[in-house]
Amino acid sequence: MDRIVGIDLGTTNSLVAFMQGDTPVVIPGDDGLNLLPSVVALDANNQPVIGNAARNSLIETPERAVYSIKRLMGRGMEDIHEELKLFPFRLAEDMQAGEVLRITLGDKTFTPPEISALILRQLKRSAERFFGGPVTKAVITVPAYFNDAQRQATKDAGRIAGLEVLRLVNEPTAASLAYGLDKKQNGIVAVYDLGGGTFDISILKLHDGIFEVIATNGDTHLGGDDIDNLLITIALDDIRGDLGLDLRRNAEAVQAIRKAVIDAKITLSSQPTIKLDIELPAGKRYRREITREQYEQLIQPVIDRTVGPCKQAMKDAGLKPEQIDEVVLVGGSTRIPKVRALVKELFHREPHTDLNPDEVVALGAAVQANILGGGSEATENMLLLDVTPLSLGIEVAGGVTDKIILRNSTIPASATQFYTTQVDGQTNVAIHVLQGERELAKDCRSLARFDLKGIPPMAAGIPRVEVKFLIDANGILHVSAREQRSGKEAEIQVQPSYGLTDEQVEGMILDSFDNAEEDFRRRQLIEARAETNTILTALEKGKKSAAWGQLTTDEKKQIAKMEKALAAVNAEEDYQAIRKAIDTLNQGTMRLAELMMNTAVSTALKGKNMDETDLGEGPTAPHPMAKAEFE
Amino acid sequence: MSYSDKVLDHYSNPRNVGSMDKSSADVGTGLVGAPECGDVMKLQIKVNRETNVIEDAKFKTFGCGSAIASSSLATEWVKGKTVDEALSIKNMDIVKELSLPPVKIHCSVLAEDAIRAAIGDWKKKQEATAPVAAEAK
Amino acid sequence: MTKSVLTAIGAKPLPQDTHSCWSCGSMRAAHFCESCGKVQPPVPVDYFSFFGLPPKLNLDVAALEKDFYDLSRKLHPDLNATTERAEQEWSLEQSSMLNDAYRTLKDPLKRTAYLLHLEGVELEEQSKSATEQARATGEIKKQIVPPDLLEEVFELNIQLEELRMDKKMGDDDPALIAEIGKQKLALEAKHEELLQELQTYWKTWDGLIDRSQAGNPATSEERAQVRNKMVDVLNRRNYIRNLVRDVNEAMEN
Ligand SMILES: Nc1ncnc2c1ncn2[C@@H]1O[C@H](COP(=O)(O)OP(=O)(O)O)[C@@H](O)[C@H]1O
Ligand code: FES
Ligand SMILES: [Mg+2]
Repeated sequence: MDRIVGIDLGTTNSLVAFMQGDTPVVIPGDDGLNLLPSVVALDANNQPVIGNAARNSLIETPERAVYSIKRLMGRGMEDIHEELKLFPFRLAEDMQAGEVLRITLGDKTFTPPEISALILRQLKRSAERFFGGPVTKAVITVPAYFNDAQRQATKDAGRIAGLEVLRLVNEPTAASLAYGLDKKQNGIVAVYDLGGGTFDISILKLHDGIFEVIATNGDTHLGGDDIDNLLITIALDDIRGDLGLDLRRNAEAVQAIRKAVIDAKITLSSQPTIKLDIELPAGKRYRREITREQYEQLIQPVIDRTVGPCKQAMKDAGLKPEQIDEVVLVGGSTRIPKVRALVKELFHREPHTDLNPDEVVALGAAVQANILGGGSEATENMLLLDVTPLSLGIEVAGGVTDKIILRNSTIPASATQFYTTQVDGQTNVAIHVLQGERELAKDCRSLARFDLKGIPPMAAGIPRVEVKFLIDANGILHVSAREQRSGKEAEIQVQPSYGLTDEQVEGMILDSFDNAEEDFRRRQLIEARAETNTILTALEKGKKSAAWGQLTTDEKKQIAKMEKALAAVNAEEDYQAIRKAIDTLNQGTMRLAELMMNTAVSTALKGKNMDETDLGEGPTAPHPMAKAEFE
Repeated sequence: MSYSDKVLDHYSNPRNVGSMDKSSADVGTGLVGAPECGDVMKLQIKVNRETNVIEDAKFKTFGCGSAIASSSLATEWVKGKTVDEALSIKNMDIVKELSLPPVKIHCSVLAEDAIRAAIGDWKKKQEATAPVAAEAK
Repeated sequence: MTKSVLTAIGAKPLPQDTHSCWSCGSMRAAHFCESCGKVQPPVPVDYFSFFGLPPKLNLDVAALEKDFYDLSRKLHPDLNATTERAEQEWSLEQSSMLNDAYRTLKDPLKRTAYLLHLEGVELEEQSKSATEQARATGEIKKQIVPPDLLEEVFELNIQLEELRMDKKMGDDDPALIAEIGKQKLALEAKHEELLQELQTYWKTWDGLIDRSQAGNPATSEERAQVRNKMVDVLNRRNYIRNLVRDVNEAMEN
């Protein structure tokens, strides 16, 4: 059976997980950490670096790094004004209106799906290292409230990364799968997911393994980022007021402040006060104490924005808070005590906080991946019935939206509409498809314009073109059309309002499917060679250490032999031979390592990098700016 | 889909919104509803008794945008027409002018109904007042 | 009342049941093969038949839900993700039809409107056909709902408009709010009444279907009579529903 992995492609952090036996587990990255910060940067050689490694670039070379790219997925120039004000996204200078966004990193430009693809590829590699074989299929999670374009962009990112995206699963729904696998209880569950960039609320009915979503709502622009931006603005204002220093345009300084306030925010989730002390350019410092109380007052308006969607979801589900059996918290921002208090007030009960809010979405994605792959004993009987979060409509006269598939309809869902012509001999009909709840087309999201072509010429009003709209299990729209009187399939030309064409995606693919196997081998070889270097360097160091003298001559001879053997195979192309030689040397230097136990070098001998191991397990939620990275 | 500015304008700036004195002898009132959606429309005409020409028309619609545009257009069209000429306005004329799609046809029907009902009401008033008028002579 | 769809279909074979499974050759069930479990190519059927149900309006919603879950376990794309491309397509179509059917049938009003649609009543086209008829005969079209209901709806709408205006200006008219509040309760009661009335016609309709199945088909007049009654209730309800909605909105904001 193919290995299908589950991926949480988050605004802040991304993870990959897999179903091991009957439990889903997160696959750590090469740094040993479960969370991969969703940060991408270009190094001095224009090579992409991803995750923790890229976080440093945010401060050192902010113009070569990007974070929170998920905010731009599937969006156009005209709907990112807010983003541009608050985030250091640098649009390509030659951007045209209507074109897919392009972001500048150094002197290169990338579309949001390409940047996401780099993150996905990193996760894919972690999984491949874990399995020792190629991984080409994945389930990827998206915020439940993502629209069609944002979903399509995520799927494109998967393809660019060389992953076949078998299913897009809504994040809160995925979380419910992980929760349900654990609990095996019937009842009504609400999932409240407040992460870095998005907020989702989903209400589900769990019934003998069926996870039926009854209502979903959310805000794709609400999360920890908003709190961060609030704190940054206050700091910048303070600094300008008190020190007369305007740092707004100083990218390095802004990033340093951002790092500090995020750290402060995280501390305030467990401490009553925090002292900010930030080093500024020109030898100045910004110091300020923030109490939990002040902080909570400050963020109240932000977290209050989750109230409306929650109430609407309950209303749509036809449920009162008392009828909900459990509220599950997901997302790093639900660690904020004030958020928990709000949830308690909204749903009249203590939320369920047993699950790790950072990992539960990825774990759920792994469960869904397992179900798609044919299931196992643990997932037997489990089935997810999700809904479309937004109504699908068609623009009719006067720019009004006519809704044809209502929000919260179980997907797959379909609707059929009939069109006719208005002029004799007319052979084309244009259809404008929208997504959203508002009455006017201009307030809804434009999905695509379809041109029905090749309608046989007839008198006006005679043709009857049947157009079928189908939302698939990924929440993505498909359209087909047939002229009924002639039985002719009408040709449809789609112009997605935002998004890449198939050809564009083809051209961006990082590891094409056909080369997956070969690519994988090549990469394994590269990685094995890198490991050879690490261990040989460590051995050199070991030879200079006091421990070396404690070995017997025989032992030293053995080690020398193994070292030579490794150096020899390292020049060849056979990665398995290299691995074997590494293992042998590792075994052979075991005693040396033991003798050196008190020094950090012992770790290096096992092929690990010292700096990383020093970090230990790290905090549960390393944000791009989390504590672990502080110097 | 593209609409002429004139048509679009009926959506954004509907003409002749308002009401007239219902009890006046030369005012005809039509109150109609579209059962498909539960929307209602009231259309009133003021007719010159000598010439049978509709001199003014007003409407008030509680319904969708297409219904509002349809009634706006209808009031514009009936003004200056005799009542008999006004009876020849068909909902499909409105559909064509506003390029309404099939699902919005009933909205245009509402407008045609309203014209007919208003004219009907006015005619009834004339029949009722005719003897009185004769007496006065 | 309703049996599981599996047995119901077995008891009352749909026409396409006579075909055999494309994969294993055994007799196929309506949507998937009972022998090998494979999803079958979709056949256009009405929503009642999809669930193996007679076209009756009183329906055991709990049993429908169970059938919906059972069928989902066979048809859903998640459970057919590793099959051949064609099967995946069928699974997508079958399960979208299943979802559409369930959504329609579980809701009493959607179910009624759907049945009327099957009976050839296009609720959407009522005004148009009535107006065309009036035009042809030169008569004044009789409004489909009683004039006093229209008056009431219109008046209440005017009041709501006033209320909204007041709120916009920051004014507060307690008398008006009290009046609208009273109307709200009356409207909700009326809405409930209409639903009750609808159910009595359901009963009549289902009686006709039972009779037909017992070999004593209902006459077309009999069918038309209940049908018209149901259409009439649905029409009146539309106005009341709008008002309930608008009143609630105006009071909330
Ligand atoms: N202890 C904490 N207190 C407050 N906020 C936190 C804490 N831990 C993480 N966060 C915030 O949670 C967000 C990340 O949550 P996560 O669920 O990983 O996001 P995403 O799904 O958007 O990637 C960030 O805004 C981060 O600052
Ligand atoms: S939808 Fe009611 S009149 Fe148009
Ligand atoms: Mg998340």
